[in-house]
Amino acid sequence: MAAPPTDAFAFRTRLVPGRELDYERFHRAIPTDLDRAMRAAGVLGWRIYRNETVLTHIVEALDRARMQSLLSRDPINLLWQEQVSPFIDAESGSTLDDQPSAAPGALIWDMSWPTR
Amino acid sequence: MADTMSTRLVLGCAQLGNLDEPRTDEQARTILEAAWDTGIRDFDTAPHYGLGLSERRLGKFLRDKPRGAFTVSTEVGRLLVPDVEGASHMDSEGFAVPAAFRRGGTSPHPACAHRSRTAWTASGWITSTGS
Repeated sequence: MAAPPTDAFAFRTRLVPGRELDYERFHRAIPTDLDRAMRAAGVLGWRIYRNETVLTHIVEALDRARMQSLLSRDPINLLWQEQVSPFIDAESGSTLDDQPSAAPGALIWDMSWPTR
Repeated sequence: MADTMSTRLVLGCAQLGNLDEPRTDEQARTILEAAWDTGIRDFDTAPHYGLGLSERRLGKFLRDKPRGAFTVSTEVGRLLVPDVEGASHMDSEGFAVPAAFRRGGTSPHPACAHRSRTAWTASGWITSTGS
């Protein structure tokens, strides 16, 4: 059985300095309903690495545009974004980085981990 | 296949549950593919290995394989109890996963006999061979 073609991509976000460990604790196990929403949107895998305040997200999805479209209006995802927003340095935004050059740091979350 | 129970070598699957260090889904799959290509058809897992992660990764890999070609042993009746408080910490029993579940003892159901770790009793074996 051949695997369907997928979109793999990476991007970076930044944390508010000093909130790194709080973010890790909060994000260590994501809510089960968020996991379901992500999978329903075609997310196959998502890992987050942290190097100081820089987060590198490695994502694999069935279809990136469809994933973004579905998640951007999913109330479960919107609630989650609101909950993590205190940890995120929104002003620095996110940077697409399909071939991360600098060391991404330690793995702090993997979508395959248990949820809460 | 009637002789799937007689395989000599069993792949222990604690590493698929991130024993000692995190592994990616891809690494887990690579391990399983290497074992499969070597001819290993028996796999030993447990709910406690990564709080479900080992079983899920093994299940995903075996989903595409012929049901009669392999056996899986796991510990039937081991309960994982959701633990909201624990979810912000990592597991304390050697697996690199969040402690989103507590190892909650065993199911009282009589059918849920445990696999013995030292003597491979048949009680805990689930075979995929059917009957």
